[in-house]
Amino acid sequence: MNSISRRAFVGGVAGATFLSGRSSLVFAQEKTITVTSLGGRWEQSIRTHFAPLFKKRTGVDVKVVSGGPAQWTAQIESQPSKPPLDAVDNSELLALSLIDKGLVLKLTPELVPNLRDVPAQFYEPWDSFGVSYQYGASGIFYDKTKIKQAPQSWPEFLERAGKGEFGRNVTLPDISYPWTPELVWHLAASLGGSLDNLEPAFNALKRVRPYVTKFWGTAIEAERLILSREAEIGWLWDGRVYAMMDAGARYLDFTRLKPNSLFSLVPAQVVKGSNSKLAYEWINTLLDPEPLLEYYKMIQYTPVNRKVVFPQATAARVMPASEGTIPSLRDLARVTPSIIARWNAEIRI
Amino acid sequence: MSESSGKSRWGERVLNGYVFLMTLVLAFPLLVVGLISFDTAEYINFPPSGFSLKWYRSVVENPTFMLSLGNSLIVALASTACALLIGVPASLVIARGRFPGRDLLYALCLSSLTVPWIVYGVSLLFLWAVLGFNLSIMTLIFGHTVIGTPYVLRTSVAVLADMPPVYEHAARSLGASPLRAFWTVTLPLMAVGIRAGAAFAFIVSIVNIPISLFVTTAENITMPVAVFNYMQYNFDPSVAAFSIIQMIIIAFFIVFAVRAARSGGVS
Amino acid sequence: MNTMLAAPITTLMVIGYVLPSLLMLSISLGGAIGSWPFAATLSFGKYIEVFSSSYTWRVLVFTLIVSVAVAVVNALLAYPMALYLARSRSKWTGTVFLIAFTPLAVGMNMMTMGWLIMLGKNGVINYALQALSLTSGPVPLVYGLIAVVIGLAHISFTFMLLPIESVLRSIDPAIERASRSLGAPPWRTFLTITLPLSFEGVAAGMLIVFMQSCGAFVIPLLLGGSSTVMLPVAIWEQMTVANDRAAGAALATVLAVIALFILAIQLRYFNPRRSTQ
Repeated sequence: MNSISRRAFVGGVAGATFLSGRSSLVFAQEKTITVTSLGGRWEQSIRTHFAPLFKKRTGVDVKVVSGGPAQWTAQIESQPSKPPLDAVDNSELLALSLIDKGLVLKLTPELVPNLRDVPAQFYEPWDSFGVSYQYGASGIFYDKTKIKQAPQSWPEFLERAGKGEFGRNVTLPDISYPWTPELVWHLAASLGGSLDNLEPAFNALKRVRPYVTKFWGTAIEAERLILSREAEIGWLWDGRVYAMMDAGARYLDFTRLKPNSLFSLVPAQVVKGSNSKLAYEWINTLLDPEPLLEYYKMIQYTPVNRKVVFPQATAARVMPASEGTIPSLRDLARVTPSIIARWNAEIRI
Repeated sequence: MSESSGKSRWGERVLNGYVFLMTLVLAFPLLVVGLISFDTAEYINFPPSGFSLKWYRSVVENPTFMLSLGNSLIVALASTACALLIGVPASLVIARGRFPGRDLLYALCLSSLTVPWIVYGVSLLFLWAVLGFNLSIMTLIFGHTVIGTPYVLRTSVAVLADMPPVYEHAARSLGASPLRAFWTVTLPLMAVGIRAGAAFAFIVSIVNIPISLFVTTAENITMPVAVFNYMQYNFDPSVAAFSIIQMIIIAFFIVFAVRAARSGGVS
Repeated sequence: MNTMLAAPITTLMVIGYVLPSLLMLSISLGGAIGSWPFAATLSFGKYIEVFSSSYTWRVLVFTLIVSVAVAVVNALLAYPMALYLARSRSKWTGTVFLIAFTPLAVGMNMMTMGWLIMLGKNGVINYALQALSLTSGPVPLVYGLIAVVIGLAHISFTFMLLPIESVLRSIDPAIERASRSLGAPPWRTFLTITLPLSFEGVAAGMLIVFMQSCGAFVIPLLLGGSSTVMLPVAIWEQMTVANDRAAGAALATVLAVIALFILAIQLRYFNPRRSTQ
């Protein structure tokens, strides 16, 4: 036994020394910028489409921290004097909390020239302290071999699902999914309610509940439910469903419902106290039409830059920015705790 | 006499059958993951639709996966070594010694097993912020040592508790120094407990997500965090391929630990 | 015995566990992130808020019931296997030992995937049941209590097996031989000698498994349904969806206190000092 501990110890110490030496070298040259990305295809796109262009323009290497907004925001908040990130891809609500704590910088067309080609609705929710470079649109996926006539509107979908027309094959997100409070608002709004009157949404959800096979917590869980044919109809973002259809799920179809779709936005922010000049340039690169088009082809979430020309084959799928909506984020943040409480009391029974 | 041995052989057979069944149940996810990892489809599905090595290739070509592999090995080995160096001596005083606050210390160490990791990960990030440390692989090794040490302590104390101190007393009364008595008598007898503890410490480190998640930087990302990040937003078989690679690595170290323990401890 | 041997572990635990726990407690009482514990004024508002919700109580009770169930089920399942690993001279023990580690090594995400493929609506078991005409439609096996207990028992099995095995192995075989040579049948030797001597290992395993189940997140989320929420899932929701770190920290403190309580009970009845004196 002592041989293993000794060997392991020597190996560990040697490895740790090697690594700490390496990271101090990296810090010394300061020719890098640290940005964030979701894992997998997203990270691959950041590395292969955006980072090389940035390097070409500035000569600076891009380091990517993969993960999610909860972790990045916590890191920035915990070390405000020397933030570990230069730019961050945030979630809609966590972006607000960084703004309120004064930890991010304002974006202007002078600093980020590509902002001129972006509709205001993608930076106004954060008073220009963040801009979403792409968007997803909500809608329903359905198994077209089972459901011949797809619903046309949100009220119709909820009503038919609540009557049991689709059987126990419906799927919706659970409250542990960060976008669910927004979804509750969106359903309420399409049924005549508002952030202060969520009654219509909860009433409809209570009727649908017996027919929900599973309330999913992560989007990949939704994908699993679809691909194992466990769910035949349900709520999801456009890009994810289109990607599955393109990968060979021929039974699958997607439609956006009336009156409008909920946006999923990813505000990119410049962190205060970072290498902000480079960070602005990074945001500008994220908004550049050229890598954005490649990003779109890979991930199918829609770029916000008006100059992006979509490929003929999929252009019809793209939702015009004018058809998307989001609630007032400040008001949403205010009512989110009560939405969670109500969901727990009325849906999780 | 013969009747009794016949009965015990029968009992042995039942036990063997039970173990065989349990082994199948325990191993079956491995089988499923293995099948998925060779699939040709773009998404995880079952049963798989073909055979290819393309997902293994995509793992090798993924810079984040490869970086995380090296990091995980360093973090797991270093934190296991630290856990052994700290936990084994502590188990001796806790099981054998008498000093004020001993029970409190033991309870404290064990209670750290109870913290929900997701919360502990966040609190560790706050700790480094308060202490003014930069996030690095060293802070990660520290966090993993904290979660690994109680396992070493627990299993070592469990073995010591069932081991009569008579052996050590005998060695001492034959003139051996306390250190010599420890090396030649106590440590070999403790080997099973230490082995179990080391295996736990290594595994809780190499599979842990929450402790590493909140302190991840561009350099110190670990294997399970890379898988977690990937699986949050992607549903393709490359995570299955990566899980198989991860499992082979863990199996290698477990076999190594078992061999080392058997040759160093029993004979 | 030199008490200084306990100094490193004390330091490690104070810096790495006590201090972060105090930070968490401080945040639940309204402290700011990145400041020393209790630097600000304290407020018990979050605790009142959390405890006045019947949902919290439901989740709490459910978490405890599931965790106890998993600990008991696992102790029963693992004991015979531990006995085999500790006593059998078969050449297969190495393989069995290695396989016992697979639940951990596979990782939670992938293990859950395996069970979903097994138990799902279009899964292997339902397929078999319908092929044998035992049921007309799919039977709901997943997204409920049973699936959560199966998943948690599976992922924590190793943590039950190893402590029992190491204690069984350390029992002096001479004691059992003595009992048998005095004419006791094997089952009696087992009940009067082996089993009591191995209680320390069973207790160690049950403690670890209970606490791991209390802190489990991925499995109740993926294998559970809308009525099977466990405490860590509720903590996660407060921390990320509601962005309310104080409420999350308050729930986490509740969980830690429960765990400390269970631990205190266990240490009282399974104190290592008693068996050495």
